[in-house]
Amino acid sequence: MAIARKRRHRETGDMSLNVTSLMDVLTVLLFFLIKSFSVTSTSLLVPEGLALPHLDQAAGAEEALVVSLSKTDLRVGERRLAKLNSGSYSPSDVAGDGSTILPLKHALDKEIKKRNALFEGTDSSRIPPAKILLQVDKRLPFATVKLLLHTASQAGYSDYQFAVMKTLE
Amino acid sequence: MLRKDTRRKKHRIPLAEINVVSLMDILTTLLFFLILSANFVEFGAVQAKSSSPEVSTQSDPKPVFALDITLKSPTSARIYLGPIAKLKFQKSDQLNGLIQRQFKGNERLGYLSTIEGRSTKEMIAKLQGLLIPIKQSFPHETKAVLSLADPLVYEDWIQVMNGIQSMGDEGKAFPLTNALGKTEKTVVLFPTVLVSEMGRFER
Repeated sequence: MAIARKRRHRETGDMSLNVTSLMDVLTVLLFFLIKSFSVTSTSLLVPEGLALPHLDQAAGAEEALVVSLSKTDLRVGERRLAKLNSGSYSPSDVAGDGSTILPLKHALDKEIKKRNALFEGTDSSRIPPAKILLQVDKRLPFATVKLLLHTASQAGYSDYQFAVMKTLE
Repeated sequence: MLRKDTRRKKHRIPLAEINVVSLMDILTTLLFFLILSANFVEFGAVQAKSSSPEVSTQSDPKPVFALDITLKSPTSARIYLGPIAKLKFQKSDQLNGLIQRQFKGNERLGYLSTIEGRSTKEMIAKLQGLLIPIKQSFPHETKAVLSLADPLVYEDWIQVMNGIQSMGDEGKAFPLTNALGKTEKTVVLFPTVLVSEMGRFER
């Protein structure tokens, strides 16, 4: 009987796939990814060539306008505003005062106008301060970064968030 | 005998099969979505503000707490503590002792101390050693100004800024007595850091 059953099994060509181990792998992967997925965390798109500094501990980044400054360019979001030559701005991009980056100032002024339009009619004391998230290459000197800070401050962004990478434990 | 066997077979409950195809579909879709959105690098942010010069319009301005840290190099810093005679503060014996030992200056102009370290980490540890007693004397003060020299590399002054804001996870918590007289342990130093350029006369 058993032999006959086996023969029948061979003849029909049925193949059974054991998915138990695959289900195990998928479930474990799923739990891991659910754990690392966060709805509220800010995900940063770090431009190529920009190395962020490492810190052992830092607070989470809040949603804010992202400005990236690397050795080769200055960006607001993903839009490149100015090119840098090994960490130095081109003279045409810097205003006469030597402290304001012109393309950045124009871009930030537009963003502030949009923001103010959102808060139109609201009491100025209840408007939260405009925040800016700065992704700056760790190798840049303060002489380059201070122009960025000065321009942001001139445009109305006085609250800075300096993006860092948390050192893995 | 055979009849008994067939009866037994008739009363058997048939095996139920679970169709896992739809479950596999859901798992695969979820997995795909989560892999796309997964971020294996954790980002953080160090908060700071821009310093704006405050011009007093009063003829006799109210005395304010002033703490200014000037970073000349990654291993050398200078702390300036403004005049404190007219300010309310706690643990006056501890603070006066610290000022006599570590600072130079007077009540009218304020006090200055220079810190040197073999590395940035060591310098930050020494800096925190001075900031803790100042914080314990002025527990309600949260602002400190960080003045930076032009050649300083971004990574170095970010670490110093972070060190001024808190002791960090590895740092030892220190006791702090609040305005209500309650003593708690904390690692927070001066969380509001105003970034400024080093003055021309300080270079």
